Amino acid sequence: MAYRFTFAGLARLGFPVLFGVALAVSASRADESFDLPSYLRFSGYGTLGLATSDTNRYALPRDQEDATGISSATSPLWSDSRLGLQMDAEITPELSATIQGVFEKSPSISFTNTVQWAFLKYEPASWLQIRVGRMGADSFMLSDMRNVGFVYPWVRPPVEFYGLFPIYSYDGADATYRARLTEDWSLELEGFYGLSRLALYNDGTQPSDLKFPVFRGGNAILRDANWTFRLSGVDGRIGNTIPAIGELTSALNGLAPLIPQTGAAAAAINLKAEVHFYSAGFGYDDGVWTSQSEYGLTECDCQILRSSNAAYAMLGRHFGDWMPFLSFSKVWQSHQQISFSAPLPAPQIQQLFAAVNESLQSGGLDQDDLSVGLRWNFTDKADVKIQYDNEHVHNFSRIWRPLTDTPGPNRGIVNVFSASLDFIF
Amino acid sequence: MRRRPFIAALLAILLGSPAFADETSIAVIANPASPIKTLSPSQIMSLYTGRQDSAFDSFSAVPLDQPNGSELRRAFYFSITGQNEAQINAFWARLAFSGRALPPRPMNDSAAIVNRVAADIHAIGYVTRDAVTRDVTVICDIKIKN
Repeated sequence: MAYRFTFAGLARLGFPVLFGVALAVSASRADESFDLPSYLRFSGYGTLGLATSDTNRYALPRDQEDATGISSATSPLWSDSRLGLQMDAEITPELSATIQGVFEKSPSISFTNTVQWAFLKYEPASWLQIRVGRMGADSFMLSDMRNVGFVYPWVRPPVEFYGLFPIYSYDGADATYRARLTEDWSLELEGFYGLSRLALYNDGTQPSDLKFPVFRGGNAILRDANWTFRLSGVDGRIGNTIPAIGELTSALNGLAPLIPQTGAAAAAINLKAEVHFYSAGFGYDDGVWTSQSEYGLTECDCQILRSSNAAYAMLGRHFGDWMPFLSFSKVWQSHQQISFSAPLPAPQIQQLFAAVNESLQSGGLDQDDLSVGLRWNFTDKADVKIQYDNEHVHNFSRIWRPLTDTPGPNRGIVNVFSASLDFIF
Repeated sequence: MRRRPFIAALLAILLGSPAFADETSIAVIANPASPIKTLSPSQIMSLYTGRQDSAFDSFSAVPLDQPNGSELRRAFYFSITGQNEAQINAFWARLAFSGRALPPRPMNDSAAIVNRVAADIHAIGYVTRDAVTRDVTVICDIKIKN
């Protein structure tokens, strides 16, 4: 099944028109009077975002699938803007079907339509839910709702955490068991199994597909009226490599009979490996104070994606419809990356090993971000947010996209300024 | 019946209070044939915020909602959760757009809710006390908090 297909007509119609119509529907509260059969429900969400930074050397992508990125040299509109449309069909009280499409800017001038979810849900009892089809990868607290700006305080979920986990959806099945433990506390246990793939826009133009023939995991969520505690673990097996790494690997393997060291270098840049994601987090909201925090550990049975740690903490306070918030996020790696020295002085071999080292270094992650923001719910279904991020970057390699061939030092401070309008209907 | 909202609205203007300020509680109603005869406020909260509760293990309850943006909806959710309507909408948006659960279906008004509950054994709704008819059973009183 194709993940992204272009709607030429929609592209001509234009995102602003679609967005305007959706916003008008939201503002008119017309949802109750939609003349749909009673078993169908139509809903949606959208964000109109503007973001820029004080550098034109590197762009900060919202996540790995964001082809534009935020900088003073790129368009401010496309990183955060999107529109989601969902149709739910309640076939019987136990069985329902859901389809969700997301419209966002793609690197080719047109707009793409991503079928985000398409699944059947079966709930034989209130304690059991089974879903089959394409579903959101429920790996972290916000991972299956990070397109929906209205549900979280930031303009975008912390890039240090969510920007690195690119898997939005998978094809497979999940089962959720729900139990009421006490009057106040309930427990949810979920397991899922399937396959996934993602488009990486590392060079900002043509995406490279990375396939996950195995994508499985589970999570446990404990909650009461105000608190949510969550633990999760996800395993993914990467089934292919990206073209640049593939070419390098073939060249190295071709030389292996003559120069044994090339075999070790080829093994070091191998991407076909198991990746494990573990996380623990909590959320709190009593209607006045709100807080959310999460820690994640990514481990790979490969050299090129080194183990990394990511964490964030957010504190906000509701003042009626206003909510100022403060947030800190960080990503770091515990191990130094290995590097190879060329076994022969021949220029071609030198070049090859330089490329290997560059690939290995490109996995580097080390930065933190302090952000302050303000959210205003100007209706009960729409908000405006402004946010300032002070990014301390100790390694621009992996998250950031260089905008020129010689972007300069690999570390620095970047200030990011964002505003968004989010709505649901 | 028709004149009641007008009088209530007039009272509200005079007293500077919500349109149902003559009420101190909201009635949660079910079909008289429903096996659910009574629910605690905490079970009502579970039902209206998509949480599991053993009360609904053997019998599925389908909650109905007042229109978005209505004063009664605001007061109901604030009384059972302490959260305002935007927060409740954001809470449901999380469940709906991650494909977990759909929010209670909004009906046009209290009369529509009473009619639906009277006709559907699974339906549960909340209305002002004066909207309750003999065709439905009150299974819980939610004290209004402001």
